[in-house]
Amino acid sequence: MPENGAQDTARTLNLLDPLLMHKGRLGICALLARADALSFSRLKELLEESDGNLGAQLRKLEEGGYITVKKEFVNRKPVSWYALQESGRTAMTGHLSAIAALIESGSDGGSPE
Amino acid sequence: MSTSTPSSAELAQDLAYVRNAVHRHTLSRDDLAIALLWAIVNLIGLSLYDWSTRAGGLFWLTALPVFGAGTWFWAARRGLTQGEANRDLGQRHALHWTAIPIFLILANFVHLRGFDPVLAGQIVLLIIGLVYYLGGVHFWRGYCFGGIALASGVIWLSLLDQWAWTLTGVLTFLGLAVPALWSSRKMGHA
Repeated sequence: MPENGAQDTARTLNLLDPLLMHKGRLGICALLARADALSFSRLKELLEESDGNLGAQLRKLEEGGYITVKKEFVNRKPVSWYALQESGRTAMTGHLSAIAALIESGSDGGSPE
Repeated sequence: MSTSTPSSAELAQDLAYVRNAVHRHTLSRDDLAIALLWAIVNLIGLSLYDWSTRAGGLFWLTALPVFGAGTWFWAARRGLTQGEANRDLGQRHALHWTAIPIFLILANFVHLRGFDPVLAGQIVLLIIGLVYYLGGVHFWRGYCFGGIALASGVIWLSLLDQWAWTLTGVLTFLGLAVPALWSSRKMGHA
């Protein structure tokens, strides 16, 4: 039975999305899933991250095809609008399900070998 | 969490981080300012009925479209300036709150069959109270208190000969303003 448990945990760990293993990136996707689009400054305010860190995480998600960015001017100021793509939404749903399963199973961080 | 295998404690910490961000996203100070605005509008509009039914009617005839459009404009502008585009939420708000003018117009037909004006007033308070209460269920919990306070006017109109509308107005003001100020304080501490 314990072996089965370890196998289950290993299987669930494989379901975790590597790109969403960072809490900042997971937070970005969770927030974007609740709106059509959010600006860089709004994401920064909600996640309480620095410009540099948030920019780096957004770039990784954009490169992964999880989000898109649209730049426009609002009141003559440049604004970057970020929106979640369908692939990002699917990845986030799967990742959150895997996290829930892991927390439920009480994974202690052991290596899945 | 960045290294190979996350523990459940690390995962729970990350989820708490995400949950906090989502919680901050749920409410903004502008939402609370809008609730405060309507607390004042209700206080004035309801209290006026104790002085003059005609003045109360005229107030609402003006206040509903003016402050309704103002709130819509405020909320739309907030989305743009705060960096948030959320058409679905905007549509849900619009559908929910336009229930008030729609059902108020329909409630006027209660008068046409010669019903007691107090009874008509009670029906109107029940309708608006319910819309506010459901606003609390769907958008911000504070509206539940405002809704109950509004609907409590049914009791005061039955029991009191004087000041029933003023009492309802004061209670509605408190039902909306106290949770708004409380939430605003909590946001300040967060």
